[in-house]
Order: sequence, then structure tokens, then C-alpha cells
Amino acid sequence: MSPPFPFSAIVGQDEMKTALLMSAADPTLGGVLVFGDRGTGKSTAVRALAALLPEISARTGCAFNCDPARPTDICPVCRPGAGKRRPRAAKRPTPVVDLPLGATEDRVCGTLDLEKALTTGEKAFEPGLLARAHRGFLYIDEVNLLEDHLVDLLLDVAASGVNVVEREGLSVRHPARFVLVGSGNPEEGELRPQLLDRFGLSLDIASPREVAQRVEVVRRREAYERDPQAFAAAWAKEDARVTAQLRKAAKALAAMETPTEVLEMAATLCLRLGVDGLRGELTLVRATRARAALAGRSAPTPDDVVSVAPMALRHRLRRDPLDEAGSTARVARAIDEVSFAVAGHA
Amino acid sequence: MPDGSGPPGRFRPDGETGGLPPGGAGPASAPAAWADALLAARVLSVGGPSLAGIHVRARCGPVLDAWLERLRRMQPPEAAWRRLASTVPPAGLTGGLDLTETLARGRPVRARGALAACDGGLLVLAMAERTEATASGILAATLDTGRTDDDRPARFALVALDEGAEADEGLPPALADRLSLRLTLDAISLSDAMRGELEVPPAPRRDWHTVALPDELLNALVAATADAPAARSPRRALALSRVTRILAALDDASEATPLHAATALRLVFGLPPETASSEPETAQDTAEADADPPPDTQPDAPPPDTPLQDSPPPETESGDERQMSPEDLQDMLVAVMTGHGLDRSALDALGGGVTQRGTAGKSGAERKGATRGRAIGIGTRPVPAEARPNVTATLRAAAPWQRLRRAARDAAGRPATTPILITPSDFRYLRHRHRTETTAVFAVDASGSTAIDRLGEAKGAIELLLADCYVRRDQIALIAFRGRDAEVLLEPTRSLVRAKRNLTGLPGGGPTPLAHGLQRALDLGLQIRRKGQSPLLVLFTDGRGNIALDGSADRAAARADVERLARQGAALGLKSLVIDIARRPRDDARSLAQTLGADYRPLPRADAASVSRLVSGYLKEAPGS
Repeated sequence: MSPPFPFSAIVGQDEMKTALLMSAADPTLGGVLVFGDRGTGKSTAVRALAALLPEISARTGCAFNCDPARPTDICPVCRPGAGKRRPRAAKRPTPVVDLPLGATEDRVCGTLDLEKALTTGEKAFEPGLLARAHRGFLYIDEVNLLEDHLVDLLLDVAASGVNVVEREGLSVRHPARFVLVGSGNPEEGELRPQLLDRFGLSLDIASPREVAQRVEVVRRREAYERDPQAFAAAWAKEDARVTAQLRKAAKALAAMETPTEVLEMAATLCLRLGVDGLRGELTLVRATRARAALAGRSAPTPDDVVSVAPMALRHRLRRDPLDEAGSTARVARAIDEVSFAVAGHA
Repeated sequence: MPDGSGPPGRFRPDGETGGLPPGGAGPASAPAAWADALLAARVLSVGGPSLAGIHVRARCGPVLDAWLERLRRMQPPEAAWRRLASTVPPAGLTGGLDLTETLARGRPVRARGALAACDGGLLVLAMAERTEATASGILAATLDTGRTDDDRPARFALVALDEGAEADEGLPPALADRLSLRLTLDAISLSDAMRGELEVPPAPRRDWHTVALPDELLNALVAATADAPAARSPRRALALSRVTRILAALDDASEATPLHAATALRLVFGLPPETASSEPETAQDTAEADADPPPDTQPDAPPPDTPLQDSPPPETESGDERQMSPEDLQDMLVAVMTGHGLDRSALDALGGGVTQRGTAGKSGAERKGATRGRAIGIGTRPVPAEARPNVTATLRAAAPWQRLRRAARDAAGRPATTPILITPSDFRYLRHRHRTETTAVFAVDASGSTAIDRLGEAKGAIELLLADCYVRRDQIALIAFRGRDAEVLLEPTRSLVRAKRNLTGLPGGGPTPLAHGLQRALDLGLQIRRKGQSPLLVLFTDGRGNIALDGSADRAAARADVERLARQGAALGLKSLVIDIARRPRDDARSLAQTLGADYRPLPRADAASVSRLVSGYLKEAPGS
């Protein structure tokens, strides 16, 4: 199987790449929502990210991606009956699961294993996509076209980290903690604010406008198609650097202090923009820390706040149908005011 | 429901046929178009999975059959060739448990999905414009990764047969964007398609991967297409680069020339070939003439049994090509695109689906058996076909028969393999009902002096409605009528972004073609109903039209037309609302409402807030929820 297109070989789209790395470094950030034109490398970036994430450890054959130290109660592999041996834990790549548009609830949540039910009469649970995405990423392309009931279901699971299945005589719960990554084209429909708010970061991206960049996109893609192995090898060093950066950042985050100055600035900014709820503020601070960690710094600065505020806040503003300026512009305006005030203090 | 059963059809009293959306181009010369079609087939055969596939816009018919036949002959005999209807259930694509076989044999039997079966070959998707969101999602992901969900290899090229007739029908954008080639077969007559020998052209001797694409040519290609809306997706640029090199390989050239690039532009954007008189027509022919690159020692060009060489190649041109400056190159490519008054915006229409509103995600209630939504009962047939049986209900259905069946089994001497004897007739399926979406179609009288205000208020109402529509997933469309015609200003949408963009700078003034407005509204209403949503027509009018359907300023004829359309509308049973905007309401609008079977509301000062409140009330009580 050929390796995926290397993450570092993606031309431009720095904001998207940064956002994805940030949410990989800190899974509690709440995922990324990417809105933009077709063919801008959204799926490519997500699939490429999978290749450079540090591996996770799980027992061979475990369909729930259980952490070997804390297996799920219902996992038949990690908790076999008395007297049976558990298989050894092995490294596996961080799962990145595609949620196909129009997938049925059965497919997403898991359901009764028909195969077993019909052939052996055994009532067994067949895990769905949510179980597969545990400890990894759940990627939804065209998230704005997703069926309502699935959106609700995902919201619930993403918030609680637990998937509860009550159907066909089954009563099952298993952990499903994942980073939600969504992408879509806003012209084809909008997303309900409840779901918007659930995403930690949101981006608006466009395909590169410069001819030189577009040409480079074609060149790299062609080079990759011609010989995926060689192309991946050529970029392996770059990718390895990113992996190392991620590892270091995740470690640094655990011990990172947040200066009061940064907390205050985040709070002021959220107040100024009238962001509903605390989630915005929390995400902003977390994103700020993640950015600092990725940059190898020991603490975030107001600069980090300024740089991540648009992606952390723009989708949380109250919708105003009569405001012609987009929310990005409103965030930028508020940042200008607030950062000026902070600079004045100092 | 009258949908699909024909008679009500489209409202075109003058007998004008629906036809395809305007291709933008002048009359294409048919033999050249057929030559292009065959060339596209050859390119696809050579490029295969790296081109993702071809988007063929054509009605079902002998021309399409002839083209498919040629394409098929170009494939190696062992290559897979599967034809699928777009209504194929997801399980049919990816494979799944074969219930009946599993039961019969008492062990799990898996059906192999169509995608894996197509590995290394072609997948022909018929009626591709009807592709469901799920199927298109699965296909798109497989085209991207070359593997199925359960990690089986599935590298194939997709031949999407798009029979879309209405402007709003088309390939789901997620698919259209990925397919490298576009082809429209409608300009080709059967006699053209029968011309030329059926012989299979030989495979190119040169591997197209090794063909060089000079930097300046790639730059020119990207630059020439960079600001075309249909080319916004970088995938187009990639397709251009590949197709150009494949064309060069077909010519046995080691390096692609501008003429290859020009031909590639046509194939990638589905542009019609130019007529014989125009300069770039010779593109493919000269490409052939170009096929003697100096470094190569091939004695002669490949056997000329391709339809490329219908006319003698003008040899004089080939010499200059090498010295073209980048600007010249770009100019030439732009010329190809703009040939025959085909401006770049026309690429949108030709892009066929690239910029079209996605049909994806619109789960029609037309599919009455949704696989989701509220459960409303239990049935004996799987609707849709891939529905999973409900185990409890199935067991309940099987229970009474167990003794009889066991006796029958023992009598037949069959071994007791399963504890419970279930036959396919026991399967029970949960039925679901999905909430129907409602689309409000605003038809606004934009004529006369007060048009600007009225349009402004309608626009305001639309934005207010959209601002909370996503909560209920309703959609809004806007038609304005003024002058001689009615115009759909806003296709049904749920997107506030889109509405805002389309509604800036609305035109107003002129006479009142009420009949046109009503006609467009009914048309759109039917279209919406065909998609399985419920339409709600909202007419802003004083009921006094003065332009007849034939465009004449004849008040009496206009009134007759309006009345006829209103009666038809009533017969169709479309839910509608007439908002009378006359300063002093008279009988005209009221009688229109009566004939149309619509609710009537006089609202002399139709302001945005009250209109949005009114319509919002109707949307909430819309059927199907």
C-alpha cells in the first residue's frame, strides 16, 4: 500500500496545518472545522496527519482501540473470559476514521452483529465508526450536509466521550474520545450553531490564488503519483521533524503555566465579542498554549492570543443577519482594540 | 403525487423542449465532436485510475451506447467493466453480509462489493445525477485512496453517465470535481457516431508518466485557467497536466507541446471542438504532425487509425511552436477557451456540476423508507434495499413456525445446524420516517415604481427566515419578475452566505410579466417536489399582470395566461400563499388566490419582519414534520 501524501509537502494552507497540529497536540481543544473550496487539500491534510501522529498502543485484534491499561468492559479481546489469555499490546497508527456522508446510525454507533446473531444465535455487539475513532480522529467531509440526527448523536458522544447504544435488545456503552475534524463548503448549506460551537477551531480556507503556488501543487502531486515511496522518503525528514515537534509539544503542555496576562486578554476579547458561554474562552486559552508548545516555548504570550483568536472565536459569534462584514472581520476588529489596550497597560 | 408520472410536466405552452442547460457554445461541428469523444475515451483508457474518471453528459441513446462500446473495446480484455445504477445501496458498493446465503449455509457469507470487483478496470455509473449522498461519499473516498473501506484494493476509473436534464440536476459536486475528463455527447448525431472504424487503436508505445511537461507550458496552463470559476479547484490543474502528457504519449512525443495542452483544455473542461474555420481547430491535427520530436528516432508517427487525422495536418505550424514565449502560450490557451464567444464564465455551465448546488445531502422524503428518522412501524420488505432486518421483530415472526419447521427439517433429513430456523420470509424491517424539508419559493413582482422597496423587504424577509432556517432545515428560493421575463435570483438554499451574495443589487422596474413569474414558481415548486421536499409558494403581487406568456403586452392575454397557470397550479395541489401588495387591494389578487387555491393576505406595507413572521408560521405547520 502506498504511503499517504506527506503532510509537510502540502503547499501553503499554513493556517490549516497549524490548526490540525494544535488539535493533535492537545486533543481536548475540541477539533477543527475547515470551510473552503473543493480540492484545497482538506482531506489530504487530514489523511496525511494520520501518518505522522505518534502511534498508540492497543492489544492485537481489539476493535475498540482500548488503552491496554484501561480496557473497556465490553471488549471481548481485552477482557476475555476467565482463564483465557489476552493478546499482547502492540503499536498501531492513530486511527483517522472517515465518516461517510449519509452513513446510517448503525454504522456510526455500532449495532447487533448480525453475522453472529444469525449463524450462532449469539448476541454480540459489532462496533461502529465511533469505536474505531477512539483515541484518534473522526473526519467528516461535507459536515454541513450531515443528517440532523447524526449531528445530534455526534454532539452527544463528542461531549461525553462515551457512546451509548440502546437498540435491538442491546445495551452497550464504550468510550469514544476523538478529535472531530469537519470540512465543508459553506455555499452548500450552513451548520447549526450548536454544532459550530462544538468545534474548537474553525478555518476558512481558499485554494491558492498565485499561479506559482498552484503550479507547485501540481508538481508535487505529480511527483507523488509517479513514485509515492520515493516522494514520501524525500519528505520523511520533514515529517519526522513535525512528529518530534508534536511529541515535544504534548509533553510540554502538561507542565505549562498560563500567565495571567494571557488569561486576562482572552477574557477581555471574549467579553468584547459577546461570545456565548465559557467554551470560547477556554478554547482560546488552550489554543494559545498549544501554539506556544508547538513553537517550543515554555509559556504563551499575548502574541499567541492574537494569532489564534480568529480560529478559536470566529464561529462562536452571535449571528447577525444584518451585519455585512463577516465574523472574521469582527474578530480582527476586537483583537485590534484589545491588543492595543494590553500594549497600553504594559 | 404526480411526480414522475409525466403529464403535469413543465409549463411551456409554446412547446419548447427542456433540453440541456445552455452549453454556451455555438454549433459544434459534429464529426469533430465525435473525434473528441473518441479521443477522450482513449485518454481515459491510457490514464485509467490516475484520471479518476470521466463525466459524460448525455441522454441515454445509441450515441452513448456507441461511445461506451468503443470505450469498452479500448480496454484490455481482462480488465474489469462493471455497470451500476446510481441507486446501488452502499452495501452493494462496499460489500456486506449476504443474509439469505448466510442463513442457507449456516455460516457467514460475505458479498463482494462492486468497488473491489472493479479494481483495475472501469466502473460505469448509470444515471449518475441521481447518486445519493452516501454512494457519492463512498465513491469519492475510494477514488481518493484507491482502497475500499475494508481495505481491499479498488483502483478504477469512474465513467459517470449524467443524464441530468434540468439545470439543477447533475453529478454530485464531490464526484464531479474529482473526475478529470468531461464530455458532452448531445451534439453528436447517430450517423457521426457510426462513422469510423471500430478497430481498437494500439496502446501508446510510450509510458505517459515519462513524458515531460515543460515548465512554461505548465505555468501557462495553470495561469490560463487560474481565474476561471470552474477551475478554482486545484484538481483541474492536476487533470490538465496529466491529460496533456497522455495526449503527448499518444503521439509518441517525449515532450508535451502547446497543442497537446490546447486539446487537454478541451477534454478537461468538456469544451466543444471549434469549427473548421477557426484557428485552434487544427490543434489535435497539428499535435499529430508534431509527433516527430527531433531526439526520437521513430521512423514515423503511430498508425493513423485514430480519428485524430481526419483532415491533412497543416505542417507549417509545427516549426514555430518551440519558440513561443510564455505569454504567447497563455494567450493561445486562453484563445482556446474563449473560442466562439465562449467566455470563461461559461466554463461554469460546462463544468457540469462543479459549481452546481450539491444534490448531496438532500435526503428526500421521496425515499419514504429512510434508514433514519423516527421509527413508524414494521414492514416485511427492506426499504431501502440495504436496510437491516430488525432482529427482535424477525425472531417474533419466526417463533410460531419453529415446531413446524423443525419437523419439516427432520423429515427432510437435514442436519440441525442452527438453533432457530429462520427463513428469508421472516425478515422484518423497521420503517422510518424522515422529516420532510420545506422550501419556500418567493415570487416577487419587481415591476413598477415601488419595486425597489418591495424587493428590499422581500430580501430582508428572506435573510431573517434563513437566519433561523437552519434550525428546521428549511430552504428558501427567490424569483423576481419584471420586464418581459421572470428570473430565479436565488436557487433553493439554506445558506445565508449564498443568499447575501446573490441578493445584492436586485434590479427592478418595467412592466409586469405575472404569468412568467407564476410559471417559474410552479416549475420550481414541481422541481422541489420531485426531490421529495414540500414546496411553499409565496407570491408577492397585486394580481395585475400586463405581459402575456408569449411576451406581448396584451392585458387580456396576460390575464388568460395567469388564470390558466393558476388552475394548473391548483390541480397540482402546491401549497401557496398570495400576499397582496397593492396599495388599495382590489379583486385581482384575491381571485388569483382563489383560482390557485392559495391563502390570501393583503399586506399593503409588506415589511420584512411581518412577512418573515407570516411565512415562518406556514413553514412550521408544513406537512411531513
